[in-house]
Amino acid sequence: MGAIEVERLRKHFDPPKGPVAVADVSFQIEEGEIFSLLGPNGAGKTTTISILSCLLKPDSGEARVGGFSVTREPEKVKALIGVVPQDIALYDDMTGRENLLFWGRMYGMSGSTLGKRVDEVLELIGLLDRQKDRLGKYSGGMKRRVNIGAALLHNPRFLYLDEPTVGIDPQSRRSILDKVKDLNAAGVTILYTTHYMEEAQELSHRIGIMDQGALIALGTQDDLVRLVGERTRIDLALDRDAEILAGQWRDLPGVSSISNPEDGRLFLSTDDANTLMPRLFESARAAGARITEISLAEPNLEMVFLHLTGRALRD
Amino acid sequence: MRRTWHIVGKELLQNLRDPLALLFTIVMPLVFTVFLGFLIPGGDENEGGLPLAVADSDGSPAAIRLIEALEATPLLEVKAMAPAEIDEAVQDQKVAAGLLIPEGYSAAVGAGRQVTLTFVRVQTSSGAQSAWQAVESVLLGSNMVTLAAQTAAEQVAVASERAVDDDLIGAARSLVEVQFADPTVEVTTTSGGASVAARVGGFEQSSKGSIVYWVLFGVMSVGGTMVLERQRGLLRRLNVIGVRAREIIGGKMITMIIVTFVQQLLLVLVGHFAFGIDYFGSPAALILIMVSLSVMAAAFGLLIASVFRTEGGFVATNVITALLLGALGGAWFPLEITSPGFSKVAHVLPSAWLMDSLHGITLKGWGILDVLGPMGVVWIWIVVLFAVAVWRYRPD
Amino acid sequence: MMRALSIAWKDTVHVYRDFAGLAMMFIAPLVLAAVLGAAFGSGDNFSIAAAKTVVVDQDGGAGAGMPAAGAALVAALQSPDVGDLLTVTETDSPEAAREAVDSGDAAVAVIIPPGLSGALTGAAPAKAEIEIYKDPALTVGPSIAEAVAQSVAQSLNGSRAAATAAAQLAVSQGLTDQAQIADVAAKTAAVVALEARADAQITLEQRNPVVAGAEKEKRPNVASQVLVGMMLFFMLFGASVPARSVLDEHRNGTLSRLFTTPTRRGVILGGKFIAVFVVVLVQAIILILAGWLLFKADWGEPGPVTVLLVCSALVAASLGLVTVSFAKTPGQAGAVSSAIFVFLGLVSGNFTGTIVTSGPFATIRRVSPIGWLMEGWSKVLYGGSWASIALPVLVTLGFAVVLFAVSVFFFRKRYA
Repeated sequence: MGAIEVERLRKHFDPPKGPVAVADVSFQIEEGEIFSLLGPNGAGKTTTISILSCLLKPDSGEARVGGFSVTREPEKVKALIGVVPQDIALYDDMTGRENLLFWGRMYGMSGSTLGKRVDEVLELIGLLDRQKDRLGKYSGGMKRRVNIGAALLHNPRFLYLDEPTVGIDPQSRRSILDKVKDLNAAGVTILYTTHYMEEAQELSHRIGIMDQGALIALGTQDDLVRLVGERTRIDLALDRDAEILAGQWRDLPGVSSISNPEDGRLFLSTDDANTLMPRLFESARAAGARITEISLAEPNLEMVFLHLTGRALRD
Repeated sequence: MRRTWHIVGKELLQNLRDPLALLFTIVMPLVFTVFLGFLIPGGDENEGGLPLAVADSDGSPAAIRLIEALEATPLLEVKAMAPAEIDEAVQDQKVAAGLLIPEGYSAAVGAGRQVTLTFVRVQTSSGAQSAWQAVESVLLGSNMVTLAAQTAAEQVAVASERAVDDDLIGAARSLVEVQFADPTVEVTTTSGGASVAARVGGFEQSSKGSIVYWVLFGVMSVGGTMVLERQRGLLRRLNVIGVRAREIIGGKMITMIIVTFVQQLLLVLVGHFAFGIDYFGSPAALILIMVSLSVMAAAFGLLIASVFRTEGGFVATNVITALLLGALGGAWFPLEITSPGFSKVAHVLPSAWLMDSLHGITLKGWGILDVLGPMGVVWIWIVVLFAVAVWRYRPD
Repeated sequence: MMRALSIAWKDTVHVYRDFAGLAMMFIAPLVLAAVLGAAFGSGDNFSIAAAKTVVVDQDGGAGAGMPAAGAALVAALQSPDVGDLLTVTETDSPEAAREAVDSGDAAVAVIIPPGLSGALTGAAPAKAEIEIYKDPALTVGPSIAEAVAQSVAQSLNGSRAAATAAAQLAVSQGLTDQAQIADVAAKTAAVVALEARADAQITLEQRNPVVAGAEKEKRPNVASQVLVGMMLFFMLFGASVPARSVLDEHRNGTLSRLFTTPTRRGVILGGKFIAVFVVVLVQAIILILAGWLLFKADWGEPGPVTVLLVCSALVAASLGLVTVSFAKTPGQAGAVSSAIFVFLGLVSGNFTGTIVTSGPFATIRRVSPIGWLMEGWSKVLYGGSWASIALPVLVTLGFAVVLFAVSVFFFRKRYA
């Protein structure tokens, strides 16, 4: 039995014409694991996390967190989880410290216990010296750190992070990823959603790939990459007619999958790069186009997604 | 210039799609006009008379005659009431005022002694003031009849060497009342304007007051949008792609002018056709006033949107400014009922001049030349407000 | 409970850090009350500007033994009794007088016709018309001038009527000597003319209503009467500021975040309700104190005033919450609540003072909780005590309970 169990979860907004946000999703997260839900925008990741946070009720299916049902025992679930939402959900006209004190109280903490814990969290997120400044004066990265800190005050057993690195600078992003690993090392079970393949690759013990509400793949990174075989990824840039050539190459023997061109760039996967590459150059020359860049790469999650859906993760 | 008009088009589209803009531009001003028009009585509209509670503790024929004289006045509607009920009725404003006729009234009048009636009123009630004047007028007439009859009886008694008795006084009274029924001297009231209402209240006041007061709410949607656009970085985006500040400001000003002009037009039409206010005596003057009012409101709206960075700040300041201009400018109540000096101070503000001009064209037959002076004051305000707004404008 | 109070404290602090909100809650009502108080007189009584009056006396001659009627009217207009109300100047011709009014130099012209005295003293019946030529945009000044003219006309008519009646009465009593009859008539007219200027027999004395429970009348000053209306009106805006925080938090994501904590939704909303009530109560207390210190308002007995304060805060809080509960965004909430509050202020008499509201308007006022509060405060200002405010308090508490329940229903429905 996992620490977090999700069984055939389903959520349909505004039926019958509205979107099915989560379509019969099932997975388990083990205690002490970092589990990532990877998928493009609109895949259903945030809806899944909202259900596991007891914010939304599923239309059918069941989810249990730490043994408690999200639908029947939400208060017990909430006591175990810390949620870092995608948006900066904090109060701009309060200081960093005031924000943390308030959220600590919402978790039932008080007095000197709360005060000490706020000090610890401020140190953890590296904002002790700025704790008395109003949040409105913080940079985006600093706000994100407080956003995370507010979810850690009550020492949660489970931490949900919903795309925590969107729109921040690389340094802050690096800092957040390191913090996530530190927290996991300290025993926190983490559910992490992202559409950045690199983050999922770096952090996760296991990854669930979601697309259009469904969980289309689940496993370790090695498990997932094996889905696309030994295929090699070829990244190309063309000077013209990329759409036309992509259409032609889709039917070329040896091409397993191909992305939609974007500004003349595309990538494809193949089992035999050596045989395929001359054919690509030849057909480009015949069409009067030039391949201006070409590179080869080992299989990765992007290719897994492309293999499973026919689209790039960023489409 | 083309970009300015594109901005105007975009703003008008947003305005049309905003149901709340409609609420503030059309619905609320109309509701305000109708309600205040009925609540504040005008002279001619008050056909039913002001309710006056009368408690007669005397019950004598003299008291009854007094009550009949009050009932005969078109300005009053007499309601009989017990003395104990009068204070509460006045306090609760169920009646404009109360009148207490004391016990012994008739005896005092008959004996030629002075007798005092008590008039119960709430200080803030304008209805009470009118009722007071009406009652005083009736008492004056009553006093005069009594005095004339008494004196005539006394003089005739002396000349005819007989005693003054009730029969003689009664006979004298009858003769005096016949004379009073056809008095020699009459007082008539005329004016140079079309209306000779005894009181400028009612829709004359509320219609114009609504026009002047609600234009500032008419700019709330466009001004609020400007604040939001600044917050969301849209103004900066326009700036970055090369749209000049004057094109943005121009677009917003023109939109506010159009929206408020249409708002005024609707209110003028309703005032003219539904409430009988003669707005079209001088169309040129009316258009000048309306344009000036729209530009003034737009300048205010632009200034407030330029200064305040948050939606809350903008709305709060807009509402307060509208309330102050309305209260000070005579949009809520005529300035003539205010204290000495207040009207002078109020005429520093443009709203007072706008109200004067609207009254001028509907009541005094003013033409365009007559409104040039007042509109000159309004345009000085416009120039100053606009200059400060442009100086304060920042896209981020 | 602690969590609800934490939320209440957080929201209250948020309100006091918002300058715009503070401006609406405190600055606006005080400024408006000061303005309206100045408009209607800063002291205990109303006062208005003296109306410029122009008079033309075309009346030439006086009959034997009678003062010129025209001069009597001019003297009455220039009397110190109306010196505060009318500023009178004389001019030569009716045309000049009308011109003065038309050009705005005068509010009213009193045009005394030629032959006024002759009409009064002549044997044959005659008519004379005193014309009041007024500025049509003005009412108060012209009505005062008209009242003075009517008063003098009454007196002149009285003398004439008395003389005519005396003559007819003398004949009916058997007198036949024409000279004697004329003498009786003349003496009668003279006595009436003289005594008409003396104290009237029937006088009118005014007082304020004595409220139930008060021992005697109390006259509240103008500013306090105006401030009550402004205070109640702006308390509505004061309530809407923290009430909107629910929508602000929904937009900013902090409301959802709150819902992910173990704190129950009922506690969250309860904390917000408490914040709204506290903010409005503090606002009311500050305005009451400011009214007392700045405008010398005598609010009345402390007990009833305190109860009315709490009722006012409860009603304002409940109205603020219920108007916000219909809205989907903070912008919508601001606009909708502004419209509703202005409408309520209008029908409840917040802007216009007490105007006779018999008939349908009395009914409309009864539908508004603010109307009931205005009534309660009015009674307290006029010296009322517990008995006089009992019904308004009970009704407004009922309104507050119902409105709170409605807002809870809508909030629960949205954030279930």
